[in-house]
Amino acid sequence: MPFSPHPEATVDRELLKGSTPLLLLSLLCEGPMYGYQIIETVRQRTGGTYTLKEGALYPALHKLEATEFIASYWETQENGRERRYYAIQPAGLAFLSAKKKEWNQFVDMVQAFVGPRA
Amino acid sequence: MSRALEAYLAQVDSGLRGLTGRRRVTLIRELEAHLLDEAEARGIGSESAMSAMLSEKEHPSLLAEGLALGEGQDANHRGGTALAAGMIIGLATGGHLWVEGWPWYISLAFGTAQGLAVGAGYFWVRRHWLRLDPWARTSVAVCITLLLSIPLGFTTHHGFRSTRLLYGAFTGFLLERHSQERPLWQTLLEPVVFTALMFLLEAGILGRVRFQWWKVPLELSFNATILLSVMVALRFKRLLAERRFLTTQEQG
Repeated sequence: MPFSPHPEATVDRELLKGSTPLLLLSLLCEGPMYGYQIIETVRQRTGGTYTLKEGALYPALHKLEATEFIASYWETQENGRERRYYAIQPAGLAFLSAKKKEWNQFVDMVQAFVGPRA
Repeated sequence: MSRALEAYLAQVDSGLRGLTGRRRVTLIRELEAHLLDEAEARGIGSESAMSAMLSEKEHPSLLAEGLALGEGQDANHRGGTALAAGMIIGLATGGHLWVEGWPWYISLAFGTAQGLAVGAGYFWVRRHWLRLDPWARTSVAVCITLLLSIPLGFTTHHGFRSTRLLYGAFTGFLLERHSQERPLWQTLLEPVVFTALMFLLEAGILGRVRFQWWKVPLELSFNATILLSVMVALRFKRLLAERRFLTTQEQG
């Protein structure tokens, strides 16, 4: 399970299951990011509702790297410490664009039944 | 480094069974960088605060299990897709030569060298230059495939022929350029320009062959076969990547 919803979270876990790779591609569309930055961004954007754990984040990033949708590189900071950045690749962008279209079609279809957001 | 962090990382490391030493070092290095980033962001300076932070984390053995879980599959995916895509290129080019009437052993040698050394070799090493800008990527790809195509030079009846290496470099150029969408006119122009270049070099500059018009469609069709096989190989590789992505999604 990629996300650990807090007890008060009202979103069905099944709806979130498996969405980590797509979420990561979307985030990396904004620019290269390192692991902790990704976790923090997810936490902030969901208002702290979902926490992406290291044990889910890194395997997902490594799988995306194996498919060449993203690439990684090490960068040394001013304080001498190193960070591994992940950046989206053209193949990842093309795939994300196709998946976004699919996602929007899916949302439209579901909304036709359950109605738009209240 | 904090003693608590060192102990935590050592426990994770001991749980990373079945991985190569180099891969383990990379994973631990990345995890260490991550935890130090978090400690810095949370203003953690003392040993007790670091211990408290680490106690909120997944158990080292569980984390190690998660990190190691897909590593073998990732490596298999990388190697398998590189080989399969390379084979497409090798089969197409070797097959084309055979249909043209070249001896089977020359066709086989060319297809094998082109497929395994150039095609699979390129896919195997290209992740090392993915971060570069498009022109630098193309330059590196051409240089690397030029080196990888040295076996192609021996696929003749006349010892080593250096111009054969250019077919490998052309393949590398196409592989890199067609990793992104290309305008149709550029795609159509590529084999034509390369064919003209080969005739200029072989007949004009080196004087190794005599220019004859009937040779033009043969050379052009061969270069078009390289282009088509590269496009099919890239498409096939992308399909496998998408399939792997969707499998990952299903696994959550």
